[in-house]
Amino acid sequence: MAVIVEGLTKTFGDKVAVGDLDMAVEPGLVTGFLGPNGAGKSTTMRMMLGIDRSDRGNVTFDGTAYTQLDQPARMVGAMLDAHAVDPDRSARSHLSYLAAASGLPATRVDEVLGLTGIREVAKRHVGAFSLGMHQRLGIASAMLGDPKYLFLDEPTNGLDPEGIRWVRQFLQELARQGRGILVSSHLLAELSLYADQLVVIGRGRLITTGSVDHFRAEHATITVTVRSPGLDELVSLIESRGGSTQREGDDLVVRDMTASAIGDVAALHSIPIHELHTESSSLEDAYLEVTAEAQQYRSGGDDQEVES
Amino acid sequence: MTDLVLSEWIKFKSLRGSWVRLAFAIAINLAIVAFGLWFFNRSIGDSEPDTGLTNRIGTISGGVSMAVILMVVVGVIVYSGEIKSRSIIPSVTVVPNRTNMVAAKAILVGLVGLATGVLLMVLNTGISMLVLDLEGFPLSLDDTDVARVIVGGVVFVTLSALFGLGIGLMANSQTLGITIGILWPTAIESSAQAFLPDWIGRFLPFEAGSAMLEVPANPDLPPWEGAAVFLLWAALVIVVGGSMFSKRDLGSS
Repeated sequence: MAVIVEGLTKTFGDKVAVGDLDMAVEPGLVTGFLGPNGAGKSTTMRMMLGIDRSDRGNVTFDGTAYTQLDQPARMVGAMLDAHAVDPDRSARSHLSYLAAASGLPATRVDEVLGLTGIREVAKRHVGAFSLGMHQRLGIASAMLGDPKYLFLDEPTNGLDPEGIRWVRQFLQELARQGRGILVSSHLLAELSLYADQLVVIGRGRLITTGSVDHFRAEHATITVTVRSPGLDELVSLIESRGGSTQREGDDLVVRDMTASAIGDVAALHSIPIHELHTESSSLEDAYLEVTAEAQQYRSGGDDQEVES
Repeated sequence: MTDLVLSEWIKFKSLRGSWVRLAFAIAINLAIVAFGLWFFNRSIGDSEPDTGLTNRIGTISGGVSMAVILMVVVGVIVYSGEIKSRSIIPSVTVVPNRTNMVAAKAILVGLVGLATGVLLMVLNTGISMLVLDLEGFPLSLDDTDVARVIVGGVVFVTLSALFGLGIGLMANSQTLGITIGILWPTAIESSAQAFLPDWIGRFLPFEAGSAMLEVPANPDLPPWEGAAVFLLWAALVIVVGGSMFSKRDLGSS
């Protein structure tokens, strides 16, 4: 049981917005949907819920297409655009018509207003809402049906640190309750704090998928920097054992070999070591590296960028 | 479907603009009724006053032609207002079956149009009958032409709102929808009639709809055949607009 996306494709003319995308959103996990701006995240989420039409591909929710669900709001709640609310309507009216359309009791409106902390402003026109209140109202809308899956597009955009923490803790709690959460962002640093799985896309195509640890292991670069008066001798010893080396001034930068292995080799051959330390590229560096092509594509050819 | 119609009703009633537009339609209609009665009263003093049934009934139906234009706008905004505010995105998320959503909107618009039409015609008839009676030119509800114009006015107002819904669905833009909705009955049809033969021109939507208000009835297009033609037009634009809506990408609207 999961949300399964298979071969999802959308083109605008000859520009591919989303191409043959496969991914899954599993219950009990926060799936971070990551990619640079314009990568196709929002288009993908809109197609998953039938708001935009796909050219081809399938999306199923526990085996059923979204349009065939008896009670969509109980299966999926979504906030795809926090500002997609009539500014002249009150928060309560907005939630009331969504609840009525979903066959939910009016009492549910009060519950989600309380859950998201906007009960006090429920009668106020949405046009007077701050960005944070808009995001909370969007999450309240998504939670109306007490859904099994929750899709949120950039839910922390523009929030202050307190708001970001509230969203993070809220989503983690929902995942603990067994719900499947799909949350998009273009910031890995934020998602890495609470996402269990990552789906990284660029130019509408899947770049990588897996856990945050898997992503780190797969894409983060680990190097060992060595400082020694015997670097020349050390280079041949390291390379004979499978390590790769690169001279950077007085330092030797080693890849594919651990610091302890280098230390052992040096000791065995009585080569003095003055400095030996390991460096790991940050998750953010790894992310920028894997999405570099998409980033270059965006900044190098604006005429080809497709809206996400 | 009851849930969906209730949802559409909450959307409609929770916006002040909905009530302002309906009030404006009623106010303009009443202003024209008042003007018609004043004009009728003034003509009594003429050397050859025309106080016949046609003119007396005209005081009831005179304001309807203007009210239907505003009812078209009411219908247009029921859909295009959601496009403008982008609230169509959460709406479609909870109601992915867009055909059902269009059906619910049509029922809501039909009911709002019917209620407004009844209110308009009750006010118009009551005021006109009272004033004309005081002036010694009574109107009777027993007169088939009077009864037909009253019912015809209600039908005309209702179908105009539904026609507006179809225009809104097709235009997919509030500004474009309102522009077309206002220009259609006021300019587009009259321009088209200048180029079209009479036997085609009388089947244009508002020309056919206004046959319900004509006294005496137009023999070339009798009142209820005119109503049927306008109903077909309203159904056509809703079906075509609904079909376009069903295929449309809404995220980038």
